[in-house]
Amino acid sequence: MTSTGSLPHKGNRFEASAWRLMRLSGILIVPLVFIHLAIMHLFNSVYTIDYQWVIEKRWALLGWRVYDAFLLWFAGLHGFNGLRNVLKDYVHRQAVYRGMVIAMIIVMLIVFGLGTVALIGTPLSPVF
Amino acid sequence: MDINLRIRRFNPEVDQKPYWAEYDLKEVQPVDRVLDLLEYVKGYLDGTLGLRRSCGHGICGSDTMRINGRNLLACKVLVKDLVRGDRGTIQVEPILGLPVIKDLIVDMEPFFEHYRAVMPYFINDEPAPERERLQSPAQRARFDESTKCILCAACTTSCPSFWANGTYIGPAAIIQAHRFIFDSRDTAGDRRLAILASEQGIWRCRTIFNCTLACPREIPVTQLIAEVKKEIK
Repeated sequence: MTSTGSLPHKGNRFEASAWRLMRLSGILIVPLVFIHLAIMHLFNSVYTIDYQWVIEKRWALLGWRVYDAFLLWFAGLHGFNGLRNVLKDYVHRQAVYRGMVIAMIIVMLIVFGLGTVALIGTPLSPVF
Repeated sequence: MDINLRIRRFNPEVDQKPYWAEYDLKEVQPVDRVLDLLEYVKGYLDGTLGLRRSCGHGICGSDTMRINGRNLLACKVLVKDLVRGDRGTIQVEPILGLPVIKDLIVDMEPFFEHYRAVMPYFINDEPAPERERLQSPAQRARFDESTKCILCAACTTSCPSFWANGTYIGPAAIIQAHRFIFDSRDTAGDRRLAILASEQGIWRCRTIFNCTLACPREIPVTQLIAEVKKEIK
């Protein structure tokens, strides 16, 4: 174990905001995730869920798109920020940490981008 | 009772790496403290055993050890709380996350360095009134829990965030900051909050609750840490 001497006397507003985001998203994703799980695995199954089902049954209603957008963004931000904190705990070399966070942000943007494109890009009324 | 006492030992002048030394103790009383067993070993079986102790009554906080996998004060835990029946094993290790000097003695300096970083002393540059600085019972109660800390390091060295990252300021230092941040007579709360909001400050806390379980003074450590987090805007 090493020690860095006196701690820097510098406030970090970002970390305080990130902590509040974790608490808020943590509370929100409990109902979001469990309702999602129930719909996908209890009331339906892998045999009935396909692209057509999603478009016709779910995304025909704007409400479900908003629900899925909330799930995507809150669960995603919660998960990625959690991963960032884990990296901060275990990766002690600053350059390596920065590289990993940049890689993580790129992955995050791809995941969020694809999800958002699917949510917004597909037409609201059933196409089939 | 018969106790098989396993002690994690390491003498850097002799040993290549730490090892388990075992001592079979006979006629141990259920109300003996683990500290009594260790002192018996040191006094009668092997005088080279290194350990810290001072008051022996759970006040000075110098004999914190990892006993059967939990951070406890050796002077507060009784054999009957660890072993049921006529025989059993008790395992004693140095606390984790701090460098071992010898056997059960660790280097506490990194811990105290973090303690000093939060300015754990009363600060008020305003001229002192003629009598004392008055405080209502309610104002005093606001920080009562954090006054109970004895700096034994049981909380900080039970914290997985601290194990992974020794530069994390740790729960004990946050509790010491809490003691003054919520003291109505102190005027340096903002400075302490700024220190805690730094890179290796309070945000490395993951609300794991090990600190609360480890505290021999039953301070609700995790709750007090959350109170300080809420103060950081």
